[in-house]
Amino acid sequence: MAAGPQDVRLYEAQQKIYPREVSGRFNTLRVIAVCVLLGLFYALPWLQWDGHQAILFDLPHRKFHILGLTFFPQDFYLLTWLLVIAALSLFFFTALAGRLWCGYACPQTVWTEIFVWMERLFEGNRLQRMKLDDAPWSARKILRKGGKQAAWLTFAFVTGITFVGYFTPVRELIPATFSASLGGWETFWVLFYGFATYGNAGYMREQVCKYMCPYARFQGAMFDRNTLLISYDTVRGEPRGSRRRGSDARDQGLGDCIDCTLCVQVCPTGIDIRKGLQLECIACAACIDACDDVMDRMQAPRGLIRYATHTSMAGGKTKVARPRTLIYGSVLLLLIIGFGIAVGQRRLIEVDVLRDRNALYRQSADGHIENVYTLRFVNKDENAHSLKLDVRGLEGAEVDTDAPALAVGAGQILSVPVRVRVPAGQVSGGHDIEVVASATDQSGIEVSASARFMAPVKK
Amino acid sequence: MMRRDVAILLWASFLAACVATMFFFAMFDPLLLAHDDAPPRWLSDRMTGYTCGFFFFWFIGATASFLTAFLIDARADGRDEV
Repeated sequence: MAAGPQDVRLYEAQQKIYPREVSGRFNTLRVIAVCVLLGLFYALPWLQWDGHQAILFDLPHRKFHILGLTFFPQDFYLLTWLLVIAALSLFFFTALAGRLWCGYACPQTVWTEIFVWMERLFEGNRLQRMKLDDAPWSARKILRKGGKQAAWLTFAFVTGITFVGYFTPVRELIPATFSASLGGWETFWVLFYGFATYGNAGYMREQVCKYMCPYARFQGAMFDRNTLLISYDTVRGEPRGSRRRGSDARDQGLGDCIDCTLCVQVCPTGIDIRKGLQLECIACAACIDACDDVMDRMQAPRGLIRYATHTSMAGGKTKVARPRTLIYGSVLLLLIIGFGIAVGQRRLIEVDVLRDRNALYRQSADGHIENVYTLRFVNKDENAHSLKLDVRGLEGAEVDTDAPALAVGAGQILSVPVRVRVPAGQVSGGHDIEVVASATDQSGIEVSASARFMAPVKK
Repeated sequence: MMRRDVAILLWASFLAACVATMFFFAMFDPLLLAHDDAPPRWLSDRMTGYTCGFFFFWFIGATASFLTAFLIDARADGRDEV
């Protein structure tokens, strides 16, 4: 009775989800989040600071401007630090209240929300959209679908330009776009990001969360019995069933769930929350809003579906302060304080010393031993600085340069050849020296770098 | 290999390439290539350097992912536990 080879489909066929429109407390909260976050995204590149774009990641010049601060690749550790803080905040908030990030702040949610809104504007509500998709092509369908596509594409294009506006000054980018004189890479990235927005928010939607997002897969590891989750109150709701309004459910042997399936219809990922917590749930709370509305109409108390912890559902008291949250929270706090200090204490001028590779030393006519170095200054400050050089660690050593006045402009990287000279009789062999540069126009700015001074060995 | 597997492989290597590009170019300036003995001139523009670097990392990551998936897929029948 050998069974023949059988095709096993690893994935169920994807069904298009038509989320029903919903209104309520949590939806209002999300709309506010969407407006604030997208508002920030589209407005920030236009913000000016001291005559330059306030936030500009200038990749061609390897300088990152953030408000009054300029960061260089040397400050990369700060970005790494920031990413660690971001990851830990995600852990912390996930442990406290589940997938808050997914439901309210994730770009995927935020842009999908806007794209669904545009879809609704052109194609109508859930039922109208389903009907339109089933209907044969007609002038009306073409008009509605075409209008939606036009709105989506325009919005995606503006999004692409804004994204590139963080890397190329946006005030030059927009005129260049409309006069078709945009550079090759700018064009590429505008289209790339625009297309990604269009595809992800217009078509992929919940599939991004279900199949592409790594966070969605491991967020469950941060949950415990005291994590705030979207929960269906099974004890109160079951057995579910329809009943007449105003009739007593308990008399009919029913729970509070009237099985209207609105919670399923509003779900952007198409799950039934009454089956319990699922990987697909992005905690958007649309089902809570829908169910609260139904409970109001049934004159039953709200909260058949609600934000609740496992403990509170079982009748216990939720513990907010517990080892998991305390550890995440305190490590997070330490990292944030440390980051603040690191940014505050950042040295405004940095210097590197490179030895001249051609000659170890040189004997000058006036009886000095000379070593030649190249000093490379990076001025991370918003202001220009004049510098004076000094050398330490070797008796009688002096440093000079051909540059008339050593000045390094704001955000400038400057290479200067310098000579360190020591009277010939005073030195033999190699010595460690320290080249010191200090600002003459502002006290407290002093940087140094160590180098090796070479002289002939005295016999 | 299913179409969706391919999408996942490309996506995972895309994420890895983003991180790799960020770290790599924080350390190395593409312009330094111009100081090489025989610099490929088209590569010594920073934006070109970054972009080529990104696609290079993506390609390497995707190759590794595909090979891994292929080798796991193509194990001798009956010998794997699943």
